[in-house]
Amino acid sequence: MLNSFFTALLHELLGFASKHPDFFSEKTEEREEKLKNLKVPVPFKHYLQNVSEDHFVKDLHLTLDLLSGAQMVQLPLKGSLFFKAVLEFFTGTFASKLDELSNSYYLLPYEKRIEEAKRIIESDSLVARALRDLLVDNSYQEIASTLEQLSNLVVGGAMVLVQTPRDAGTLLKKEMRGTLSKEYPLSFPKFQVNRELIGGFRVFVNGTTKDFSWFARILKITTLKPKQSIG
Amino acid sequence: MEGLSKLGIDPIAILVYIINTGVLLAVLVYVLYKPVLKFLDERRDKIQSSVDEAVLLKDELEKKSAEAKEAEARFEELLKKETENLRKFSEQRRSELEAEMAVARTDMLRKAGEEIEARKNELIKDVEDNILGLIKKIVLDIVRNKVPEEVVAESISDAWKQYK
Repeated sequence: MLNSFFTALLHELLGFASKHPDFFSEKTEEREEKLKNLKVPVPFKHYLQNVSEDHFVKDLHLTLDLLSGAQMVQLPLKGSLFFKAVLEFFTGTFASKLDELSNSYYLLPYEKRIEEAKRIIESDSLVARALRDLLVDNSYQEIASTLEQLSNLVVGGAMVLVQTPRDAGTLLKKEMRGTLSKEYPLSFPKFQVNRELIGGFRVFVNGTTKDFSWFARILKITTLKPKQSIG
Repeated sequence: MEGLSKLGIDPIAILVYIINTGVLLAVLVYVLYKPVLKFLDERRDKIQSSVDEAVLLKDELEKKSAEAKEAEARFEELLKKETENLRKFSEQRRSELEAEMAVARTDMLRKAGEEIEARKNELIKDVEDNILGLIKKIVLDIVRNKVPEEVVAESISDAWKQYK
């Protein structure tokens, strides 16, 4: 699913590296200066700014293996700075963009989805186009599951699911994501509508539930036993 | 002698009479007096023996009577003691039985109480479950269908504030 994105990103990174053959021997400040013109998301600029040449090559091999058809679970992604940057991007900027999409987005016709994707990702870079394709060609569940798996493989990230009785809205989702990302770094909180909750919300983290829903409260109230007063 | 003869008394006849009387007396003594005397002695001895025997029997009877009285007294004493023991035993047994009955009654009452309590609790629980189920249905129906969208949206924000 992320192959187009990785391809586009590698294209940009390798193009940049070929333009600056001495890049990895330079100091951080010099790297920062050169990276200003590179059209990739900020986490990858930070990555390039700090990564060593050996680690970059190693990450490159991992990415190429992935693009060659290897499954993520088969690769030693844990500790990879590149994939950590990928996660930072997807759980940060991209996740915010994703949260801007309404629930009805995935029910829209293909053309409408493209328009909507263009609205939230305006850039015309290769990476941006790959991201738009990602949004248009995949469902929210598919994207979220892939990122969840990647997070788990790279940093042992938590599986976070937030259920709300209706769409929580972009701002609240952003706030929730921000807070949950601090609690569970580099995890990708999934948002899901569950009308059964009636009100409030519910969070599942690695199988543990924190239930703030009305449904849970009603259940709690209706299962409360009154004090023994008869007798 | 002649004088006696003149008086009409014949001394020889008198002698004969005397001899006759002597003989008669001797015969009588020998034939009658001695057997009668012997009979009388024997009779007296027999009576004496009977009297002695009666006295002996009387003594014996008195002795036996005394023994019987003594035995009776002892028996009465024993009987009294046994009766007392029996009374005490009966009393003790009655107390034990009463205690056992009290324990059994208490136990029975406790079990009955527990059973009644359990049954009461079951009934209360059933009623509570029914009421709570009904309340749940009503509440869920109301909040699912009657709560405005903006209230639901607000509830998410409120819950989030609570989470933070």
